[in-house]
Amino acid sequence: MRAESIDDEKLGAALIAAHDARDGARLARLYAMAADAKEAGGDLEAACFYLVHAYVHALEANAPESAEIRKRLVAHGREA
Amino acid sequence: MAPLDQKTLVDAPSLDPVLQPVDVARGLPNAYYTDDALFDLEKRKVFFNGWAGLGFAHDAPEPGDARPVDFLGAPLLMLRDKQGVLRVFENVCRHRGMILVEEARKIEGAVRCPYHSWCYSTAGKLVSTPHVGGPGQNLHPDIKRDELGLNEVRSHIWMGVVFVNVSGDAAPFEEANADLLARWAEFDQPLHHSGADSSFKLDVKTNWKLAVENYSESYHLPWVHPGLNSYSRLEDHYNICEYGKFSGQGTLVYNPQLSDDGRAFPNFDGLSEKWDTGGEYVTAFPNVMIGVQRDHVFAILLEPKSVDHTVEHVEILYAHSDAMADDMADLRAANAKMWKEVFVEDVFVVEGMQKGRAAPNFDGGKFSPAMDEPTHVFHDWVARRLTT
Ligand code: FES
Ligand SMILES: [Fe+2]
Repeated sequence: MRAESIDDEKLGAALIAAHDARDGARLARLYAMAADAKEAGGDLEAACFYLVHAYVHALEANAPESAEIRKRLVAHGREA
Repeated sequence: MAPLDQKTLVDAPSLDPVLQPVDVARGLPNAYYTDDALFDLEKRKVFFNGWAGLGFAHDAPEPGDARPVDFLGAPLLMLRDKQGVLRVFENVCRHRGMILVEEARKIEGAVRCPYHSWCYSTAGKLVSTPHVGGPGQNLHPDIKRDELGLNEVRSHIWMGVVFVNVSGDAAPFEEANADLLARWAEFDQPLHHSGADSSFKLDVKTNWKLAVENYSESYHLPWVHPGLNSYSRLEDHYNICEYGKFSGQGTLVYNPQLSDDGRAFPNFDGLSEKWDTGGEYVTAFPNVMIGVQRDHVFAILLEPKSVDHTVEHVEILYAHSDAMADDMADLRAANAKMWKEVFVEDVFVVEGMQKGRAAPNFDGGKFSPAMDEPTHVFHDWVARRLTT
């Protein structure tokens, strides 16, 4: 997941497309990528914001990465 | 709520004539079939305060299946969890009361509220509360997830029907319906539903009670269902009258001829002799009319849409999985057709009786003590529920 990267502009367009397609698994992946980018840039608040979205969409879609995303949020004190 | 109820009843025609013995009783007064305030009272006292039919277990057959149901205006959700347990919840988010599921669908993982995305498991637990403690923070000390799961509505499955008790304080289903369960204990076996070929709906312009009343009695059979031949002979039928519990009728001559080549549905295992040619047709009050015979049962769930509009949901369930075979499809179709013809024949009488309730001087009607007692048992039950 972290191998794929994405800039803000492309991300916005991809998110809108995934929202329109109601593709929860894709949304989870895109938000996780956005979180990765923010975390790599040292912006933990923005990273957690995106992780929250990645987590919710992964939960809804029953995507396999939800457990991993949850662990990251828990590690930052953001999820139980 | 109590003062409001009393006011509605004080203004309503008296139920005293209804509560007399059958030989002198009158039927329920017109207003109980035509008045919106009484319909609303009935909704709470007759439907919500006890057990009533909501839907069928096969409406949500697979793990993750979610089916919203409007239950007399209450938004409910039938939800089968990942382990296969079917529960009923209020279809409402615990945060701001948003409707959670708009139409029947499969829940892949969690139920996500479309408003602020709180997430619930298919077992109704609140599993995530995004940004609830501020941006990027899913925790807040005042958001106690274990206290904020979906509101569960008590439910119980019997004869393939999902019964609910919305008020939550009725006696347990097995206790409330103990005598009916005991009467039909032999039919407490797995039931098999074949899908669309054993399922139909009738949209009827009548108060739901008139459907029960017509179902309860055999008096009309020779007049309204002359084609039933052997089924329609009055002398082959008997009344079932259990005051305060249930009522209906039975036949001694159930013997379907669905094919010319002698094929028939397999019977339930281990039935006693009574059922070789016996069939019974009883209403589990208020709104589930059930028929049992040696090879299949059916349930007609009455969905009151308004005081004078009812949808009848009819489902046929078979005794044995062999009845599900492809080479039985023509028999299943013939059986469904036979019952549908019977129930369609009843439509003009339940709609005609509804129209009759607009006659200002109609007094609820005079019962035949010999033929109409099952209807009186139902009225007695309704009247007692309304006044307690
Ligand atoms: S109303 Fe459901 S999350 Fe706000
Ligand atoms: Fe009938």
